[in-house]
Amino acid sequence: MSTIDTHNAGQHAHHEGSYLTPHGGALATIWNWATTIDHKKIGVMYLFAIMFMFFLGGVAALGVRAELWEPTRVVTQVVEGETVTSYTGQVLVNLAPIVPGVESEGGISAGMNIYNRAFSLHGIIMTFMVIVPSVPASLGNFFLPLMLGAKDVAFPRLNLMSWYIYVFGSIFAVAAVVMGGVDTGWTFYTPYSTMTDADHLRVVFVILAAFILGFSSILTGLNFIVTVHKLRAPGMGWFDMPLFVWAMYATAIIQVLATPVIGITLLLLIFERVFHVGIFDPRMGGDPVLYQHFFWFYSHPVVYVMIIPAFGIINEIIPVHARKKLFGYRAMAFATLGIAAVSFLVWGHHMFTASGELAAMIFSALTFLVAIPTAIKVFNWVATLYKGSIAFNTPMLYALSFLFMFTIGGLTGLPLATLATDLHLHDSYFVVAHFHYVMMGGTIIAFVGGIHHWWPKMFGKLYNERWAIIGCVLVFIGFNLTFFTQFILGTRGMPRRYASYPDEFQFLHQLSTIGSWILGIGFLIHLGVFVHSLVAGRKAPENPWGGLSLEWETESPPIEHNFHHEPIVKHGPYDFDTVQPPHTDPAEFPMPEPLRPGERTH
Amino acid sequence: MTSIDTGGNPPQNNPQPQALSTEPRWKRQPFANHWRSHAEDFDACKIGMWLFLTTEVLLFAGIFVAYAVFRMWYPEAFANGSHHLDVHWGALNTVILLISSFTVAASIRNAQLNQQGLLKINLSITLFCALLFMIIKFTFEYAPKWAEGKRPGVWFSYPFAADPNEHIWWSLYYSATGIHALHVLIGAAVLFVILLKSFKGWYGPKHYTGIEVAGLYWHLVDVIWIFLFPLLYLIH
Amino acid sequence: MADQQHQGPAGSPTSDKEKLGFDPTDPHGFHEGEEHGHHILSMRMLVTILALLLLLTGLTVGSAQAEIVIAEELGITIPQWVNVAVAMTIATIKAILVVAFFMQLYYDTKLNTMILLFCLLTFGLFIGFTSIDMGNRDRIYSWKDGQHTPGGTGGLGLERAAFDRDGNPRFTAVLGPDGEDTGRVRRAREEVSDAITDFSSDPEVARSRLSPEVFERLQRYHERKKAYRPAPTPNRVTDLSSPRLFAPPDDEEGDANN
Repeated sequence: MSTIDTHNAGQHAHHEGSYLTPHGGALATIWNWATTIDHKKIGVMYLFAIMFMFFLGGVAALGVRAELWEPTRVVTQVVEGETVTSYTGQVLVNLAPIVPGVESEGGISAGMNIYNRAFSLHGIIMTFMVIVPSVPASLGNFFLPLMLGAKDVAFPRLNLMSWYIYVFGSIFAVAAVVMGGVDTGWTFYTPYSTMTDADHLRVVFVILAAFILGFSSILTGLNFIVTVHKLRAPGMGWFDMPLFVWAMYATAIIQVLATPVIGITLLLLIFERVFHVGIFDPRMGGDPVLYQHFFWFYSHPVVYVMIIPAFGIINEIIPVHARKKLFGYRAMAFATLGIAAVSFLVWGHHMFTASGELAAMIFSALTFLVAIPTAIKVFNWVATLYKGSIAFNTPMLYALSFLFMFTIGGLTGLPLATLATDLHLHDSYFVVAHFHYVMMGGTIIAFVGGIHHWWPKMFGKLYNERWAIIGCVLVFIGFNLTFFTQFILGTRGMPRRYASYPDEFQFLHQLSTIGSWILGIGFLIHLGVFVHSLVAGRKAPENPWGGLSLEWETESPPIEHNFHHEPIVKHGPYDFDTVQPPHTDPAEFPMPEPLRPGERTH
Repeated sequence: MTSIDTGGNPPQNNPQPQALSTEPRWKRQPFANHWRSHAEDFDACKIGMWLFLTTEVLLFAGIFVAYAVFRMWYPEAFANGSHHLDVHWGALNTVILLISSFTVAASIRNAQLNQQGLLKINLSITLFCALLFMIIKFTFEYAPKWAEGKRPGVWFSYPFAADPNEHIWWSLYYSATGIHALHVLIGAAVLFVILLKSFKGWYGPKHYTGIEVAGLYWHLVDVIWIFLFPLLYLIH
Repeated sequence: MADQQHQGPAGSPTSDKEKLGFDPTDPHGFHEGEEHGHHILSMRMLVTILALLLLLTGLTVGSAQAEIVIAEELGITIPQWVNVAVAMTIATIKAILVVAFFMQLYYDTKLNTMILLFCLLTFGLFIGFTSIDMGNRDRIYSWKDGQHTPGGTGGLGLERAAFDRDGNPRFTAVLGPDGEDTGRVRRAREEVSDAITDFSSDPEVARSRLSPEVFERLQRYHERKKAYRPAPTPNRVTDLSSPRLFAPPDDEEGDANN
């Protein structure tokens, strides 16, 4: 280091602490966080908000699985000359006293009503409040500017606004739950959403919540696009960006182009429900399938808003923890953009049984296109792992689980994209298992892996590796037990969203429920690991894994303005074969040995 | 302040408010410290606004798609419904919005040339046009139609309708023009803030980001109306 | 390594430029050559654009009125697409004028044009695919006209279950729910198919072979089928009973298809 740099670094150490440094007393610190425009603090606030919503959605999921432990049946017995009616398998009915709107309904319908509300609650929270914002709003907000070498996102105040909008929208949703919940399912299909609970505002509340959350999503996406275009560090061309940034960019494009359509859809749905304007009501000349087109024009691209960021995280974890240059960088970047482009062409595959045959045929053909860029990615990850020096720590284990489960999720999409098989599998547990393998086995697993990968950087603390690995293994076992059984149930004809089922399905349903408990325990262990790390974790070094992208060059946790000086990029983010990672000891992170004649790394 | 706190920003390009207090307001505006220069800040705001306009266009896309589908299904209902609209008011509102678009474009020119007086006049004319548009919309279009029973959906009670699906036409008419009118109101509110700021001298040559961005929004509202007008008023 | 990656304290832009090889205020060269953002339109230009826009507004209103006059006075029927094409072409020209000059996209960075084009592309996909489905549904379904009869699947099911499209009986070998050949199922279905064949050739034979209830049901089914004529255009208003809803003036048309 030159003298000038040392001098400046000294000054900084004096002037500028980590972004986590408290400002004055407790109240002042809270006020500082509430009004912050620092992307790191906003990212952390998003992370905790999303974790909280994940907890709520998870509890609802456990409730759904508990109800399915036994099929709901009416049992009539004659006891001492009197006929007594009782029910089996009713678990959620115990909540009847605290769920408004079902007290009056006795017996079997109350329990089933609560079941409908529980799975709707699970779907709405997990989709709109957890998976859509999960990676971009928390890790993306935190690391996109750091990876670009920027001081902040392009519009920091909009960024804070997007967090408040997220919280505001979530409050609307939670208010609807407190008022008794909705039973529309997360898709708000008409006529469920226009006719159920006609005298109640809670459906409108939930629709409004989704509408408001859309703004939050748009603002995040808009911010990221401009940031990537305008705030890359000197020397960082488009193909020098880490692939996580590429993923965020593709995600942002989808968010900006698709989210407004859900805005108008939900607005029209509110018009339909409140004013009965009739455009989605077949009795008045409208068409419910039009609603489905509107809804899926947003919601299919948004499936890629959920999964592309996960690809981004895996792109970071695998090369760093396998200490090997990423295989096929450009193919990865173009595949990311390709998925984003294809995402707008395939929404009709959610409507194979509802739409006309011509459209279904076109959409089916286009749907198979998705497999191409996705397969490129999976093959590239596997090629990167080949002959790498793989460290089996928590992030890497999560990346490997991702590869396993996402591949299953992707391949089971093919029978669903085929018109003939979809007629059988449509709206069955096969579909449920398929999208859980992609959304949960893909996105959430990558998200948790990403949190572990970047936790030392975000909070400057190391976590307990042993317990994190135990949690990871439990999550893997629990997840597969929960959802693989559902593939089998689905092919045998178990329809989704039913509280009861034929007796022969009970064994698989019970396995699935046991899996959900293991999954829950796994996540609780992770929660414990995080809390322990925050309270008593060891201090993390600047670059614990030997990463090469720019976020590892700053301190852990980063200083308030991210970098002491604007970094100048001289090497690619995955050049592990030529560049010694910053802040690392060559003894701990040695460069790979030169290849012997004739040897190939891939 | 040390040079370190501005990071990569060359400090001489980023004016310090306290040091230059005698200068006009627009010259004293510093740019946010994560930008390298004023030009970058301005460019980024424009890109951001264009992205936001994209979302606005796609918001209206939903209305246009619904319009296309129902027009394809019920051409008669749409033709009949369209005849109940008074093309004169529609055309007048079009002219009003076009003029307001012109005055906004002119006010940007005024800011670029530091014509502070004309800037305020042009912005005021724009706001007046917005007001006129809303008055015409409500008093001469919505109110009489609603009174006659030409209402959306179940509220439809016009006795002389010739097609059983005319309420769909009115649903789309009120949705489209209503959401557009909401955008006019939002645009007018933003321009009102811009006008207030212009009285304090916030805008000048190369420092007119706010007015440029608000202007883009206002032009988009105009463009949407350019398409809504023929689709609603001029079809048979 | 470290001093390669850190920029020295901010000095004057020119010296930085020489040292670093690029302008630190614009490392990617966005502004090389010209300044995109600050194009000043001349007043004459602005007024010309406004005049053009007003002229085009007059033109579109005029052409719409002219079409009505031509159609009514001269008795010429102008196809509907002409009206739409003229109105939308003029609207597009107007929009291009506003976007290119009032919004200064013509002078702006290409990125903003790209953003707008992507937006329009997305709009096109949305309207295109949705119309493919919503517009073609009835035509596609009309391929099945011969197989569809109104009134649910009650009568239809019987016939469809028994015959294929060419009228040949289907159930020569019927498998039961578990895959075994159940004679019971086959016999029941053959009976039904025979009954339908008999009924269409000679109703009296069918009457003698079937129970009165089944015969009556078949009779009703055939009457309904005879009365049915497929609707050429979809008629989607079904429930007009609500007092608030408008009732169509000619009820006969509406009822025949329901």
